[in-house]
Amino acid sequence: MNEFEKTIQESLRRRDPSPWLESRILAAASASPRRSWLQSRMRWTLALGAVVFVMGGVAWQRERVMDERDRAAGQAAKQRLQLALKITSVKLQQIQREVIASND
Amino acid sequence: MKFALIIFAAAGSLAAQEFRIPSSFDKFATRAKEMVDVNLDGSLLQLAARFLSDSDADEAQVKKLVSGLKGIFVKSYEFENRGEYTEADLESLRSQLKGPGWSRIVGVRSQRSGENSDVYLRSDGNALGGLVVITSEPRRLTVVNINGSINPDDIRRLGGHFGIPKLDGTGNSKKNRED
Repeated sequence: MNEFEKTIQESLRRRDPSPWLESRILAAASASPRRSWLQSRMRWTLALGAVVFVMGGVAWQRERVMDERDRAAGQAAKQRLQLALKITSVKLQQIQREVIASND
Repeated sequence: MKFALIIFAAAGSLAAQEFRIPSSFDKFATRAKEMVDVNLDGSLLQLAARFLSDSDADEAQVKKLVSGLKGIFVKSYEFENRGEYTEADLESLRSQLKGPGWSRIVGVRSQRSGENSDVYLRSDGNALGGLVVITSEPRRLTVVNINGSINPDDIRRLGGHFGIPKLDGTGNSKKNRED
């Protein structure tokens, strides 16, 4: 058996775990559920935040479209009102002019 | 029973005061060379009023005028040829204005040009409840129906404001005033 074989044998030799390994594993096991609860809560919070953000964006966009539609309808109604009053005013002015002319 | 009949009769009388441009006038849309058709009911008027500025004097004046209105309906046709509308078409308008509450305040007839104009007002108690203007020329026909509290002078005074032209001069055609 040469030096190299000895080294291999030594490396592969079964060794007992250190006495504190068990306590470390148990500590890690008891700590891990808490961490996963936190992570899960964080994930839900982020998901909820994303949903709220998307819904808020959709609502804002919808309101913006409705505002634009209202504005367009309002401006169209205003123009029609202006046209109606223009025709009415012109006709009344013409009639008044004719009445005055007929009295002259 | 009698009370119900009185209510029914009163409701019928009020309904009779409402003026509507007959749907038979829709036929002119295809015959007319040019046409203006404006239908602004109460909700559209309120919507239009929301877009009238209070800081602009002209628009504020119009806003005030519109606040008492329930509707504005205008139909104006310009035809290529004479005789596109008949006296019966005009009568379908005038017959509605013979009902209670309506009175013709101006009637202008021109034998020379064939131009006729009538202005009717509806009274709701002490207040004015509506205005109808009918002008007919051989190739033109215009009907304006304004429903609600309105003073014709307020509209006439809009001339020169809100993009409405102000007509001047007295005209030189001889007209026969009937009323």
